Amino acid sequence: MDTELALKPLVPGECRGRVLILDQYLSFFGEVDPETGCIRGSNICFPGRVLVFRGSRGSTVGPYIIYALKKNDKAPVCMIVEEAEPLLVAGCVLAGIPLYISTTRIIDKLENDTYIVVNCNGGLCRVEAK
Amino acid sequence: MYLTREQEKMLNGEYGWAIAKAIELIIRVGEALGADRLIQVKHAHVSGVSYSNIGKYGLEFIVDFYKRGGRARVYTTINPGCIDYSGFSTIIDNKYMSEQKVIDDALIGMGFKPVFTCIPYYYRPPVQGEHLAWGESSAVIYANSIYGALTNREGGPIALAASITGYTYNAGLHLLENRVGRIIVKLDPVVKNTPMGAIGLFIGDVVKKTPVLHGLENIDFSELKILLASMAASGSHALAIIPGITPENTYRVEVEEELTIEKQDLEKYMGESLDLKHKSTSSVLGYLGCPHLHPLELLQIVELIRKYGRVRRGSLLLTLPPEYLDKYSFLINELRARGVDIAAGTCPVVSVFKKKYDYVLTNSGKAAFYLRRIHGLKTIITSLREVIRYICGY
Repeated sequence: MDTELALKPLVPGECRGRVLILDQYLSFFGEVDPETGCIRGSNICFPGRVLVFRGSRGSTVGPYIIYALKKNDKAPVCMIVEEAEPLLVAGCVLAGIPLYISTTRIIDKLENDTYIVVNCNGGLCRVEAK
Repeated sequence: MYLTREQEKMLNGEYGWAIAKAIELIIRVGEALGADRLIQVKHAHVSGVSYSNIGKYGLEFIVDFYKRGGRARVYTTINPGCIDYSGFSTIIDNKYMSEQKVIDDALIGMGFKPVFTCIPYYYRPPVQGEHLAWGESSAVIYANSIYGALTNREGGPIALAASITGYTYNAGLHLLENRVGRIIVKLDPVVKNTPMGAIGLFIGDVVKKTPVLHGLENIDFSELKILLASMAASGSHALAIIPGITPENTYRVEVEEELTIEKQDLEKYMGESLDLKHKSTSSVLGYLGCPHLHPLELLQIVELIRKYGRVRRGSLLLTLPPEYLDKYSFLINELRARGVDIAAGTCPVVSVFKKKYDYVLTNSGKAAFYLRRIHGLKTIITSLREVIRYICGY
């Protein structure tokens, strides 16, 4: 599976851990609790996971929520998205959370809880499952 | 990325920590999004300033920039905070007064205009084709779609950084090649009988490409504001092309698909249907003013309430820019006398309520999106007229 999952780094940095897949767009403001690192009203939590989701949506308060997740030690290890918008990139830059964008539809190809490592060579990265 | 000598000096710290940090943030985001250079902006609008949303980390971020020398280099306005500056609202809880004051003092100290509103275009309507760095998703989509100005959804930190450097990155909607409508959304079957707030939530949720909205020829600007704000809340839209309204030469259309919205698509976004008898014992809040009311909307609301006399069922909350308290005091006083609660410089999306309500009734899909998620409130979307009829009617 590894060779077809190519990624581009938007905010470079180490990205390894157990995958948490959310097949949805996420509004960090409103849908995520920065105190717990969990999706509100669910038991889906980010801390220590590689968060894989479609992309961000919603309020422009989003970057501060991502920053607060990091400060509260409740942030995902890194994020992999299929679409990136400025708000998400700004939040990850501020918080120092590595962010990668997938060049293909990655959500169908990864399984929840798989341990993955993102390896980069030059400007291109790929996902390896352990 | 190409940087001018001045920008390199900024980055190297020759103008101090705040400017260096701010331009670094803009450059890194710009590089991630493929920008070739930075561009000057005419107006920055800083969102993410409400203490109840951004908490102590957001507060520290803003105060740091102020204390370490960040000052506005371009005209800059401020989004609503979490305090009702009229002091008279019995619905909005001013419990974070002291924390919000620290944020406000830092923002004003940086030279930002303290308008505390999400409709910055009321203070300075953008010019077609000019570059802006706006936070506040509802204002961004309004600037791009109605005025033909050019701005990305910057978010609080980038808008603040753009204000104190004067620059943002040249990518996204600053480039004509990215302002391309790809999906025609036909609203004709629903536009007459469905609240715009629900239509907007549906489009934001389901349509991911830049839409070209057909069927809006007879819609007024108040309804367009609600539609666009709701799309930008449930989706990540920053531009919707409305033929006949969006200025030509600020977009292109390359249609790939078409979507016709049917009535049944919208039901789940509207919330429960409104049954007057059933809910007569419940506590109900009517809410108008997300985004903040334009003076013409305020006038329209006054005229509607006059017909009914006063608030009769539950409460009615209006949110608007603080400036109206003075400028339109004759209307504000009359509304208060008729039992309406008015909060200035804030709104329920960025503040805390004093009590919980069984139902909220609003025309705004954006307000519904966040009230359901943040406050866990049952929220029903209907038209402005219906909100007033329910709260003030016999």
